[in-house]
Amino acid sequence: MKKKLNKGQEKFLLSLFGPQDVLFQREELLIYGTDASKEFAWPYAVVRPSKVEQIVELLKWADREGVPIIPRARATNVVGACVPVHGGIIVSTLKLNRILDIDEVDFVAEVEPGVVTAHLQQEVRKKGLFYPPDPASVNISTIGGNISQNAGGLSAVKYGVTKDYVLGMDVVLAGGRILSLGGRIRKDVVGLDLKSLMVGSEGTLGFFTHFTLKLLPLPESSVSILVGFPSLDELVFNAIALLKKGLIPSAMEFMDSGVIKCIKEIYPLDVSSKVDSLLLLKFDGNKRDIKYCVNELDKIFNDSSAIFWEKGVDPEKENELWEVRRMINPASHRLGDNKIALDICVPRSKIPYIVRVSKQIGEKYSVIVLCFGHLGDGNIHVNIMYSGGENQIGAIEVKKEILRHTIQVGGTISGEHGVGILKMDFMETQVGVHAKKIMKKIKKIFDPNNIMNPGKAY
Amino acid sequence: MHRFDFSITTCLLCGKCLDVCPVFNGTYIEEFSPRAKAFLLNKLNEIPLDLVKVKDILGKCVGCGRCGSVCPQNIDLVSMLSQIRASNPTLKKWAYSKAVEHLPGISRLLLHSLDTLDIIPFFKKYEGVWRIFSDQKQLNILKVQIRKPIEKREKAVIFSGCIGRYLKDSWSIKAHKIARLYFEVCEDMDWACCGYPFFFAGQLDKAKGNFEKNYNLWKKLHMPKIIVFCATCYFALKKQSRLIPDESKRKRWLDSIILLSDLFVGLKEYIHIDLHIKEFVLHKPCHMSDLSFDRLRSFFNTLNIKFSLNTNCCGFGGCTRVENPELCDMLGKSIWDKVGRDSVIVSGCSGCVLQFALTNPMSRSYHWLDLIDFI
Ligand SMILES: Cc1cc2nc3c(=O)[nH]c(=O)nc-3n(C[C@H](O)[C@H](O)[C@H](O)COP(=O)(O)OP(=O)(O)OC[C@H]3O[C@@H](n4cnc5c(N)ncnc54)[C@H](O)[C@@H]3O)c2cc1C
Ligand code: SF4
Ligand code: SF4
Repeated sequence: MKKKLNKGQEKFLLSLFGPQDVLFQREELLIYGTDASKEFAWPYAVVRPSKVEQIVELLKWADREGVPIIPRARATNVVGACVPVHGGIIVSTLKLNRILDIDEVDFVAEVEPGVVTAHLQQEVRKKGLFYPPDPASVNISTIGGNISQNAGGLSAVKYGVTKDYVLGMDVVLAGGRILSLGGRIRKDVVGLDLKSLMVGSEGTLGFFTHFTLKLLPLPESSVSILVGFPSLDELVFNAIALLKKGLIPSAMEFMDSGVIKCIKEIYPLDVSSKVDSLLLLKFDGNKRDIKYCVNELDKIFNDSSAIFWEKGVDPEKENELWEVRRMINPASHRLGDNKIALDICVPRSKIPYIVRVSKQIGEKYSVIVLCFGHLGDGNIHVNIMYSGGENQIGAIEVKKEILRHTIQVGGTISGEHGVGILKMDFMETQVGVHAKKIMKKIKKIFDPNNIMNPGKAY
Repeated sequence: MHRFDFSITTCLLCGKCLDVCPVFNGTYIEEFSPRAKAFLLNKLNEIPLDLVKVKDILGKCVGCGRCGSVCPQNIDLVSMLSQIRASNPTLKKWAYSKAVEHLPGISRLLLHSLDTLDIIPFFKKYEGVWRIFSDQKQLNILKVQIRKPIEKREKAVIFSGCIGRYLKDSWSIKAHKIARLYFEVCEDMDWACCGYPFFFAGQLDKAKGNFEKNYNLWKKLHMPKIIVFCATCYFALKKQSRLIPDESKRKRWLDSIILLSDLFVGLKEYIHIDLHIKEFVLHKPCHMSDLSFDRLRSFFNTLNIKFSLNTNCCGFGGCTRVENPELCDMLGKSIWDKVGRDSVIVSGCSGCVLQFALTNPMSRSYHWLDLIDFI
């Protein structure tokens, strides 16, 4: 590692943050060079602000000195968004973790960026309120990270993703100016929507210090249903019929034949060999709605090609049904030590096609490809399993071909995880040269000296 | 550069362990997180690092094992730390195990002549606490009235652990009374420490030596049941079964170790309550299984005693307690801050009980054995 800060710069950081909250030694810096992508690059230093004023001063100074700034929350992003590819100073948000207010009249929460999303959910639930975005990493990732990656989860089909819950935010820009965008208001058509531009910006436009989030009333009750179909085409056909009837689930997950097979290896999933694909649904709402919903579902599945369906009306049974979904990750590791996990998103009608093509591509390179995910949004988790170095090359080829097909059918290379550094190669193919250029120009307006998380996303 | 013959290569860097780690959650310092330690261990052979600084980071761990319990890759960081410490003298931890070794002699000094405590600064630092801890009045709210043994077929022996043996003999006395209802209880043996402090400190030879002594004593007594009232001793004695090569003996050893609370909860019908405390906080020791803890919890539930739960780690920390007392003090105090300084905390692990006493001068920290009284 070449040392990139001079003595004066080190002194500045020490005076701003105090010796406890500045790191220069490589033993301490090590973890800050990586994230859940497993990519690595050395940062110059790490700082841990606990006050907004420190961030303002830091961004003034860094802009002047041309030192890259990399915001870092819990580093659970899987695309290398926190990896300091151009060196720079990692700014940890872990000490900015207060829930400042939960308002039961305005239905909003005001939070700092380092709050863990599940902690916020627990606190609002105590007041009968609900913060719906639920990435699988809800217990381990933060609101700041979720907003920066525009994270989504199971409930997106009914409730949308993180961006749908951001009403306002404060952003410190390179150079130290603070931009206050939006607020407790639910409608606002004045000027360009800069707040939405910030969501999903992967730390490249500014440093977020405060959010106002929209809350909903907590649903009273829920029901879950696991349905087995003889083919994926049948599954998608019936799922769409259900949506057309106005039955909007709060989760709509599918699992393909490969997934079912590997779950069966580690979990007593008792389904007949005729079942090719599984659909897992959850509905929430008030008790009357749920009752109606259960009746309608019985009718729909009775008239369909469904091989079986199993309901969970109490939390225990619901949990049992969802255990099947939770088994995918541990079960998949039986098929390879490593995996490339894609989170492509395609129009719903294209799901059977893209799943079929992905498997064919896998077969061509002799790697196993598993497909499952959020059917309601067309967001498919494609896991390309491999072991050791030899079929890693094959797996990378599989990834490229699948992404190419995804773009061809009008899909996106990422529905949830973002671009970071790992998907940069495909970014331009999807959005086009012009769109990418415009994004870069927009960044220049907010960050003329390119200090905010350089080399990421676009 | 020292070459280590193992590293952690399976960590996914997923960050699931951050949420459960008491050290991380008490400090919000990411380099102290289990993920950071796993990554450091992974890179030791690849990147030249200063082992003294590495030791300092790895030392910010209280050995609770919580990270392993949520890790999708089953990474047992505590065992990894133990191995890595064992493999390199710079990384080894000495102070706590020295403290444990000296405990038999020092316990007398602790309780009687405090000015000689300077030998080990740890004892000196908490000099006011030892006697209070040792002489503390018992709560005696559960009156056990039982004359006839419940069953008395097998032989058993009590394993009191270092704290029970040297600082709190009242626990051992009660443990005997309970055990005698179920078993033919032998005389106390001259057990060695359960080995956990040595294991965590990377002093595997000593841990093994202790185990062999204990194992031989057990065999000499014709393999009786071993009744343990400290959850960490119980955990350690079970874990060391790995050192028994013969499979049938290993099984016998595992079967013979019994956690006293698992027995005690069976006495429900012989207990009446003399409640002179309003309520207490039942603490879940990290090394007590969910099953044993649930038994204890439902026992108190059926007795209709009011209590709340604390499931956060006490932060005792084994060798870390001695080498990083500030960290462990901070973790213990944060629990008192949460539950209230004048609360009563009850645990089933001697280490937790000591930790709560060390971090609150009002010393309202009790083993569940302190709650009971035989009439
Ligand atoms: C097991 C697992 C499951 C996952 N499941 C899902 C899922 O279901 N859906 C999904 O969408 N994602 C998922 N992810 C990915 C990841 O959890 C999300 O991307 C999450 O939003 C990242 O949050 P974080 O707090 O870890 O942020 P980090 O990874 O620390 O940071 C992410 C980005 O945000 C930026 N950033 C962080 N804080 C700020 C700030 N205050 N100001 C400006 N920029 C900031 C960083 O620079 C970086 O670019 C999963 C990851 C794992 C490991
Ligand atoms: S053993 Fe406990 S203290 Fe140590 S790293 Fe794991 S969770 Fe943290
Ligand atoms: S939970 Fe396990 S795999 Fe995930 S970061 Fe922690 S040690 Fe690594």
